Amino acid sequence: MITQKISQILLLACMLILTSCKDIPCDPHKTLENIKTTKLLKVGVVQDSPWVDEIFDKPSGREVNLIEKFAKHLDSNIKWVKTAEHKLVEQLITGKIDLLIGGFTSDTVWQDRVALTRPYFVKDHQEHVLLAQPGENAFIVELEQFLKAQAYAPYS
Amino acid sequence: MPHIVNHEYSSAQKKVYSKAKILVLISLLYSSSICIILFLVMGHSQTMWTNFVESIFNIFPPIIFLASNYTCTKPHNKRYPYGYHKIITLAFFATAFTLFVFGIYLFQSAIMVLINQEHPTIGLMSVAGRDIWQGWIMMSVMVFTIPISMTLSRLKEKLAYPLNDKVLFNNAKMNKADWMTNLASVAGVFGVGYGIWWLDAVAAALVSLDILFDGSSQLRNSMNELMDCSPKSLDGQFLDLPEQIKKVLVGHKKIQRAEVCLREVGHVFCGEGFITLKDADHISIDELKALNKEIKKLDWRLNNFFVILT
Repeated sequence: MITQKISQILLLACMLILTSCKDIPCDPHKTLENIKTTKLLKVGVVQDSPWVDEIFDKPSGREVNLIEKFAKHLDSNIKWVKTAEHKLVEQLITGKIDLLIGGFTSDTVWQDRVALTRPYFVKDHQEHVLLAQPGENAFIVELEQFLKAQAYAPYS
Repeated sequence: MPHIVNHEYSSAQKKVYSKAKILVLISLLYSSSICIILFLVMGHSQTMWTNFVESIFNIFPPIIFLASNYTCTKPHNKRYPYGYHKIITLAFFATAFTLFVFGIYLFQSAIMVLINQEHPTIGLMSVAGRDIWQGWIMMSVMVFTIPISMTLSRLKEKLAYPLNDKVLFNNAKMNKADWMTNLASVAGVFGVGYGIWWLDAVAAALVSLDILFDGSSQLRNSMNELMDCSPKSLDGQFLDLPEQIKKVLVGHKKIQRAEVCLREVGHVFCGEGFITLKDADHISIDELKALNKEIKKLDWRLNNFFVILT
């Protein structure tokens, strides 16, 4: 009897979901939508040459170039956020920033707390990834699609 | 004639048993391949990790069934004078314990996801050069497995009754848990896709409660069996077989009082009937033999039943 009830509840849940939203996947915190409406992409940067160099006011580096292209793709401006790495991770989890870059690889110590994109570049068994807020799947899918189109961009 | 009979199944049951064996072999192959497929599509998703762990759990019950049924038909010997029937009880305990632990594990992992507010991340996956949202792949794998697990569960349950095999019965329950978890995962991944991050964990928690409930009742049953509890059916109802035997004994014209003890040993029952004769009456050995024969007719599972004069 419990089985039947659970199946009914699940079916109902599926129906509810089907009628509630249009695109799959969505962002629980609407990251992608907010970026498009406010035209602002908030990116945390961690110094790690040659991926991110923040010697000057405006950061530069391979991943910085990549994100600048991504912002153009989303038709938005970038707000660079510089502070300690653990604080940036905290801000990423709570959604104060949308993205965190700094030469991160897929075996980063933060892998259980934040979302990693698919590796966009692999060299010497180091899979380079970008960090995003966990569960913002529409934003992550958008970013991953962009990264694939930009294959080898870090060297261009 | 040996005192301990090795008979486990009648020839009709042996046919059912060989069917069950094939079924379990198929489900073993199926579980192993699902295990590999899930490992490949799992990615970094917590949902799929839970599913993967479950699929590993699913490999054990068929192995336990095959191993214990192989062992239990071995003839008794000096070392094991009562034969190997009880291995089934032990295996029943093992599978029940698996189900129970599995329920606890799933429940706690679902609750932890809710407490930590972990938003599951599901990104893109490349299949044959095309990028697909990994959620679609997960859902299609799970939707594909649901009817198979469902059929396996139904068939095993149907075969478990004539064999009185609790291990097979638990196997069926495990398959049921499997398709229910998969259904919940489909709902959960759907939820994630639509931005409802908690739906996955809530669905998983509900299903794990059901599994936990099943597991604990099976565990209790198997522990009762190990404690030589009076025989029960697969559904956990006490049988009225001891009463029936008592009726046969008391019905005999020479017997004044009778008491019956029965216990389950694997598939079969063992027990004793203690009788007190009416005053100054004698019972011949032939009469006792006839009585014993009549009692054994009551149920095929009455493997070793002894009438004892007190």
